[in-house]
Formats: sequence, C-alpha cells, structure tokens
Amino acid sequence: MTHDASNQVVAAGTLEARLTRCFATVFPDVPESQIAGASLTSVKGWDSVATITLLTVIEEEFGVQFEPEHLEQLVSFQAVLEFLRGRKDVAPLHRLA
Amino acid sequence: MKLIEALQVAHRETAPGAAPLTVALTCGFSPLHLQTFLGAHLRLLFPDHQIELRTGIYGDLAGNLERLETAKLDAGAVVMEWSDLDPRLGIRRLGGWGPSDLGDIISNVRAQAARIQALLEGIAQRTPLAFCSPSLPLPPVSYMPGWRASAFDSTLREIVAGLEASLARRPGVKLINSQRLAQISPPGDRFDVKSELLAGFPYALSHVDALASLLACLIRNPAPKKGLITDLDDTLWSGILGEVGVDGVSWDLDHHSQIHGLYQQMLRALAEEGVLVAVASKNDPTLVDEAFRRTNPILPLSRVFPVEAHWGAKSESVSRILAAWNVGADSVIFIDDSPMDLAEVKAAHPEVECLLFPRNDPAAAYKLLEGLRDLFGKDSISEEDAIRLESIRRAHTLVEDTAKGAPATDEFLRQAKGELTLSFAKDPPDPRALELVNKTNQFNLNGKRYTEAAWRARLSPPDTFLVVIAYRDKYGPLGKIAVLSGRRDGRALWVDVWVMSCRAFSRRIEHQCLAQLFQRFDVEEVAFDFVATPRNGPLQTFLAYFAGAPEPGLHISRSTFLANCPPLFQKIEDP
Repeated sequence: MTHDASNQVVAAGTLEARLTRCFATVFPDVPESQIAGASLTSVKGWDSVATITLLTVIEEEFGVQFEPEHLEQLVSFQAVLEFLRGRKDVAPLHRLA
Repeated sequence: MKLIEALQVAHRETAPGAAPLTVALTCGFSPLHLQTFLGAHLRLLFPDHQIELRTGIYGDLAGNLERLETAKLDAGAVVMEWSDLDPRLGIRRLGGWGPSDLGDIISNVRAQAARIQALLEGIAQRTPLAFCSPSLPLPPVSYMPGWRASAFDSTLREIVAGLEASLARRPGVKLINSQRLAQISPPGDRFDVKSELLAGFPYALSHVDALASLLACLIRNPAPKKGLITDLDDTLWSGILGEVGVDGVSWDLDHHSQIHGLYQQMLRALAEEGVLVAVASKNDPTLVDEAFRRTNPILPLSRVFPVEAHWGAKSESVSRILAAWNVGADSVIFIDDSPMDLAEVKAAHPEVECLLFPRNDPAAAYKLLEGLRDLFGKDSISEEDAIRLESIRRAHTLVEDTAKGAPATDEFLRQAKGELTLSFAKDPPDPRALELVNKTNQFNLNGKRYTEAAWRARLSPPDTFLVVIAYRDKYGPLGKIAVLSGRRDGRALWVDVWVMSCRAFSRRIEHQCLAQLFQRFDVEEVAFDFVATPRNGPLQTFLAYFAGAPEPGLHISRSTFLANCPPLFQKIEDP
C-alpha cells in the first residue's frame, strides 16, 4: 500500500506509486508511509552513491534521462515527483512490466 | 535483470544461520551498479549464503589487488578496463592522444599488464578468482579511421590476449569468455559515456547485468552433468533405421545431414572428456548393432554404454541406464527428436533434463551443441575421466557374472587383486578431492559442499588430515575414488568429510578406508559428522552395519569395527 504526503493511500500504477516503489527499493530501511516526505536530509544513508542509484532506477522505471544538474536539484521525493509530473515523455507502466 | 530488480534481490533477507560468502569486487572504476548486480546474481546462485561484497579504492586496480593478497576471502571478482592499463585509454583523464603518445601508451600497458598478471597469479594461489579483461571499446586514440584495425589497437589487444592466455592456464583463475559476453551484451551498447563522466562508472546497465551474471557463474562454478542419453533415428543420425536400412542413415554434407555429424562429434568429444553416453532408441537391436558396426559413425559403439534398443518405453530404457551408471537422474540429460518421447521420459524421471533435438532447424541444433558444452563443461580433464566408462562397463559385467553364479564375494574379491593407494598430501590439496566432495551424493557423510577457498581454509590447520584414495585391480584402474578428511582429537579421530564414488561400491573399499584410519592414526574410536541426506542411503547402510541406525554424533570403536569387519583383500600402497 502506497501513501502520499498527507498519508492518504495512493492507487497502484500511478506516477506517485511507481516513484514510491523506486524509493522503497533504494532505501529499504525507510517505512513506506514516510517515503512521500523523504529527502536528502531526512534519510540516513542518502549519499552521493544513493543519489546516483536512485536516479538511475528512476531513469529505468520512467524512461527519462537526467542531466548532471539534477543530481543537486532532485534531492527529495517531492522534487522528483514534481520533475516527473512536468515531463511529457514519462513511459507508461505497461512498458516496464 | 533491471537495476530495481537487482536491488530487490540484493536486499532480500537471508535465512538465519546462512553461511557467509565473502567476495571481493576489485576494479579501478567506481563499483556502483556492478556491486549491486553482482550481489544480486550471487544471491540467486547462492541462496543459502549471506553474501558480503567488499570493494576497493577508486582508480587503483593494482593497489586494490595488492590489498587482496592478505584478505580472507571466498572468492574475488576482478574487472579490468583499458584505463587500468593506462589512464589515457579512459575518458576521465586528459593525458594526450597524439601520435607521439602512442608508443608510450603501449609501453605503459605492457608494464601494467605484467604487474597485474603477477598480482593475480599470486592471489590465485590462495583465493579463487573470476576475471574479466577489458570489455569496453578502445577510445579513438589511434590516428587511423575507426573502421581500420591499427597496429596500435592490435598491439594493445595482443598484450591483453597474452595476459588472458597466461591466466587461463592457472587453475585458480577463471576468465569470462569474451565471445559469450558479446553474445549477451553487444559491444557497441556497453559504454555509458554520461555515467562515466558523471559518476566514474563506465557501463550501460544491460552490460553490467551481463557481466555480473557471468562473474557470478564463474564464482559458482556449477557442477557439470555426468551423463547423456541419446536417441538414434533423426537424432544421432538422419533417417529412420527401420525404414531406410543401415545404408540409408547419414550424417554428412552430401546428404544434407551434417548437423547430425556435428552432434556425433560433440558426443564423442564429451565421451572422451569423461561424460557417460548411452543410447535409448525404439529400434530393432540387431539393426542398431549392425548400423554401429558397418557405418563407422563418428561416435563409435566403444564410447557408448549401455545401448537400450528395443520397442519398449523410453522411460524404461532410461531407468536401466541410470541403474547401470549408478548416477542420480538430476545429473543426466536426455536428447530426442520426439516431443512425445521427451514428455514420456520427463513424466517418469522429472529430474532428468530433457532436450529436443531440432532436426529440421540447423541453427537451433547448433545452439543445442553450445548448450551441451555449458551443461558438461568442466575445469580440467582428469585420469578418472578417461577410465570412467570402462570401469562402469566392467562393474556392470561383474554384476551380471555374479548373477550368473560367479564365485562368492570373498573369493571374487580375493582373485580381483585390488590395490589401494593412499595419499595424505594436503598442501596443495589434490583438486580431485574437492571435485569428488562436491559431486558425490550416495556415499557422502553429510552432503556438505565447499567453495575452493573454504576447502583450502578447512585443510590449513596443522591437525587436519586429508586422504585421497585410488583403487585398481586386475580388471583395470578406477582412479581416485574416495576422500576422507577430519582431525585427530586425542585417542579419537573426528571425520567430517567422507565421500566415495559409486563406481567403487561392492569392493569393501569403504571397510578398508576405516581399517586404515584405525591403523594409521592408532586411535580407539572414529567419530563422524554424519547427517542423513535424501541421497546418502548407501553410506547409511554401511554405517548401520557397525553402529546401528546412524544418527548425528555417530562413532565406531576399534573393537566394534574389528569384530564386525569382513575379510579385506586389498593390497595397500603409499604413492
């Protein structure tokens, strides 16, 4: 079960749910209910290696490409979510099954 | 496997008490996703182990190798790239690609390759290594156009090929086959320039996955299959023997049946490497015998045992072949062109791997040959491989003779003139010992398997012993057929490894093994690390003869052994 920032359940297959799965995989120690509020400062173990791993997983999941400057900008769940919402080329779920 | 899947596999919890498996991942670039994928593939291949992956310092392959020399490891995975041989062959350094630099780059690569080779050879004496030579394309350093092979590029590849050839001859080093890597990871898709510039990690994800899967496979080093059962008509040869006659079957270019010739050639090679090959065919046995004798097939009858040719079910043939070989069904492959016969065998013997011979699809048939090489591939060919088939054939004859009223067991064993050779050398350990321990099921004290490093580690304390036993009699040699290992504990002996090849059953070799332990170590009792397994029934029967129903903690005293041991006739020799 996936939760949004206000701890409401998010429907499976949505952008938010898919992103939550990425975060949960890279940061397995973070409870799923807290992922929507996850950030570089709140998650222990979110270092430069974790950033690259996370962004690579998201690239693979959503079929997008990040630029070097994104490494410093996309440092929270909400920042990544906003970034993805602003993209028209996000791959649909069925492409990734 | 995708990165997210690799992470999920790597993060799976291991069972409590899982044995640790410590592997050093050594490379000059940032290990990043290679660490994740290798961890995941190792988890899949070692489900009962707790995987610990250790990495080194960025940009220092040789230094990382030097640090490995003193590390306590189960295995090492070493991945070398061109930039490890000279940083100018990477894209993170700007040392010059001009014509005047080329000679110096070659000199540097030659020197660094020699240094790395020496380090790898040193480490491999203690720790088994999986090694991958540069898998990325060379950067456009040479002044020639990219479609033309330059002397510069060729010389660099020659240096690396020399390194590979030397390492491939070392028993402790296993190399990734670049041809196989190219099949599953096209060279043009491997380099991720952005990732290399951004994170110091040069591989595209698809390449990391392929590379990690092969490294894990080299570390796992799966046990080869032992036997192959083949159909005849439209499989070993083209044509239905009963319809076209002995002169009508073929396996050559002239008859457009060359793929069957290639199949025979592969089976002959496998037989010469010690693989057991048998025939299961619905056929007239007289005609089959005539076909083998008159047509001079590439796979001769002398390399095949047994031949099951009749009109009964193939599953019955397979049952008899398994009994004659005395090997487990899970170590046997059955090949037939008939999906129905494959299904019938599979239903009766679910553990036998059944493969279709695609007689009308040469490309698929060729793929089958490549698959056979994977299933039966082994590290080396031993003396035992050369004599296996003959010793099984002899054992089968002996069983038949006994059934026909041959001399009683004691008399038979006496006249057989058996000789046992006991070798106590353990440094370095005979590689045949670990091979036997890791593949023997029926006469196996506890079913424990060992990695090469774990095996060496258990033998290193001075109070441990290792005995490798070879057997021969007037019918010929069986080779090295038994291994015992353990340690002395005061007036008792603790044995935690005891395996014996099924080819050596019924000769009282196991009795003689125990007699020799009491005699050589002068102990009053032998205790065993016995564990019942689904397959070690023959060992349990033997132990029960001396100690009742075997249980963990089982021990046999000298007096009990001597009171119950039947007469032994073997002559004992030291090598």
